[in-house]
Amino acid sequence: MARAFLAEWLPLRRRRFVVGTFSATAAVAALGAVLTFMATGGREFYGDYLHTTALSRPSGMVEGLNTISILLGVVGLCVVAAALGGDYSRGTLRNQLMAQPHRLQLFAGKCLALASFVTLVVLAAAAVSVALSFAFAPIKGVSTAAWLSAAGMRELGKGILNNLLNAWGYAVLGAFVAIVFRSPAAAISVGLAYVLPVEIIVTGIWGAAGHWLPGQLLQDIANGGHGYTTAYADATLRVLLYGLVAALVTALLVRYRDMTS
Amino acid sequence: MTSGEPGRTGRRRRGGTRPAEVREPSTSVFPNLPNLRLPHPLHAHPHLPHPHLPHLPHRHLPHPHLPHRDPHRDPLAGIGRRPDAAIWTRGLTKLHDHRRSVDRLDLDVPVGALSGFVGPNGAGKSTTLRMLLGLIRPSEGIGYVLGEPISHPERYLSHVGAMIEGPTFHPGLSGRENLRQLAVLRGVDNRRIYEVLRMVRLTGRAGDPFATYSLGMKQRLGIAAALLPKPELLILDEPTNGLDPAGIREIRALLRDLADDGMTVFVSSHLLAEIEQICDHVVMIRSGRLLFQGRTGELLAAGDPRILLVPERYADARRLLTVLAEDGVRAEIRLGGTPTVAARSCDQRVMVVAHAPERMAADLNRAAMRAGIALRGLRAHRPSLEETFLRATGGADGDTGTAAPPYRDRRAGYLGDEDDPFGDATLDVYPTEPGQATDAGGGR
Repeated sequence: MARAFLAEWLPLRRRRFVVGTFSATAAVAALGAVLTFMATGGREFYGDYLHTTALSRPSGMVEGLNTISILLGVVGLCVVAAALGGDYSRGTLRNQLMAQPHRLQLFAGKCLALASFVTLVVLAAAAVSVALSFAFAPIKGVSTAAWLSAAGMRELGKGILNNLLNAWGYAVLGAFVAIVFRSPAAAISVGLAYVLPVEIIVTGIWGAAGHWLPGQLLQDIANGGHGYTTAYADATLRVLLYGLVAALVTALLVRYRDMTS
Repeated sequence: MTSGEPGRTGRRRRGGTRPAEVREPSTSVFPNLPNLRLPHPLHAHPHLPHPHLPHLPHRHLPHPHLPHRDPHRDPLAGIGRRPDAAIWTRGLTKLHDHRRSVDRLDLDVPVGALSGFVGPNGAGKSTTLRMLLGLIRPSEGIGYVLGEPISHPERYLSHVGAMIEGPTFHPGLSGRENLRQLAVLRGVDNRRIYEVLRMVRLTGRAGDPFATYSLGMKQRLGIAAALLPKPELLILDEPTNGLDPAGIREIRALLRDLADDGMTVFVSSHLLAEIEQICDHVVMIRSGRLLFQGRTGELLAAGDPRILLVPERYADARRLLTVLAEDGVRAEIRLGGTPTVAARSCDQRVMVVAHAPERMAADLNRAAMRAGIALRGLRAHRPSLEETFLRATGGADGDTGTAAPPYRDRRAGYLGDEDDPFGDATLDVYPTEPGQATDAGGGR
């Protein structure tokens, strides 16, 4: 599995891929931070009104990061679906299976590498978001004293962890659709179509579905359970359950399905 | 799960409403060549008489020579495999829905052989190779690669290098990085990457992205990847695709060198001239079924050798035909070109084709001399692998699913129609079969 992990990092280290992914992530993180601070002073933001006093709390530092949690999830889904689906559609997975015939070990190593890449993406987004938050805070008159306190550090850690769980959840969905559809285009389009319009429409029509749909639950987790009706612990448990089922089905498909592509 | 029982029963359950398809077992299309396939050690070969009870009629069972046992739980299941076989299968079958892509294939590829794997498009070559490499599971049958069961590819794939269905690599990575990825997976030293790149003469472009490679360079990289683990068995699917003549020659020499060093090489190719030149062993399949396997020379020798006799005078051709018939040699007259007004040029195109091996050339010459017929030319013609292959496969494209009737030369048995539109002096690809109206002699 360690070999599969190291081998998967070779394509992930491509300069163009790294620059593209991290540039997009930084841009999105910057957008989130800018919009969060621009929304202070009475502007409506996601149906709420942010006040400078709210941003001055210990959790204010990660508000910008939380606003882009869904985009970080989309990045996680796309990276994993593109990598695994691409291996199928290009036929490179065939070569890799001949070099490492233990399918589950190969798959686990690849997934670990992709998860670590997604982790770096979230950490980069957090770094950009936090840095810009510190830059914008004096402009908007937001006190940063609480951010630098122990409570602020805890909130930062929680915020990053929640966004990591969110991105990993999307990544599991990406792996699932990639293995099912064996094509990056199909995997990304179906995955995004499900978590964005489908879940939003379903939740809009029947609000109670939001307590059970995985995409909605991941948003609850990313925001630490704040402002959503599902409790953090419930959302985490349900997402964990969904994740286990998806991982099991994916593993079974990887292990037993013929490599015909 | 093993390659045998579970898959088979599962498939049968789904197709349970269909009547069991009973197909004739694979038989050699070369009646004068003993089929080199070995009967399964536990079950007598279905289309051979029982060794001890020859009077018993054989029955075509749906799966007559399958052991129907798990080779990994039952130690007797694979005891008959030849210890000198790099690839050994019995009854290897792959069902796709209700279609048999591979149909009870019995392979015996000897250790150290440079073996060619030929068949029309859709014959099941790639499916067979995928099964041997553990990429897909057989629906029925058993197989061993380097003495290990194909249901446990992890036991032998570290000693096998393969390139299946063309070179497939990450387009954004360089050739070297692509190899490094596979080397990391295999636990192969980085120095080996340089060695294999040098073997396929790709060191100069190894740092360029794979996407910028020409087809020939991609093919070389695929071969390099297959050579990474210093394999005991090298399996290549169409390795010379996209290569220029010089590249083909290099790959040919490389494969020959590898085989000379003791590596078993199993090459699938549609370039039959290549196979004929480099392979000492050949496996021929059609519609997933084995047509022939054995030494290339034996296959070629069985492919209707002919002797071409050119009488000095056109008028002697018919008489020569009669003389040969009296000697029991089947022969026919062919015109090799468009006759012209000049009698002499017309004479030059007449030839008598005798279906006889090369060793009879002197006898035929003497027979012609005894009859007072002077020969201007006499040469033996041994069918190429391509001719033999097309004859065996009926010239059919396997994609159609059915074999078209073999094309037969419209000139066969030509007796002097001066409107013959065929002007070349080459032989037809498909020899005339016995019993055609215009040939002579009873054959030998």
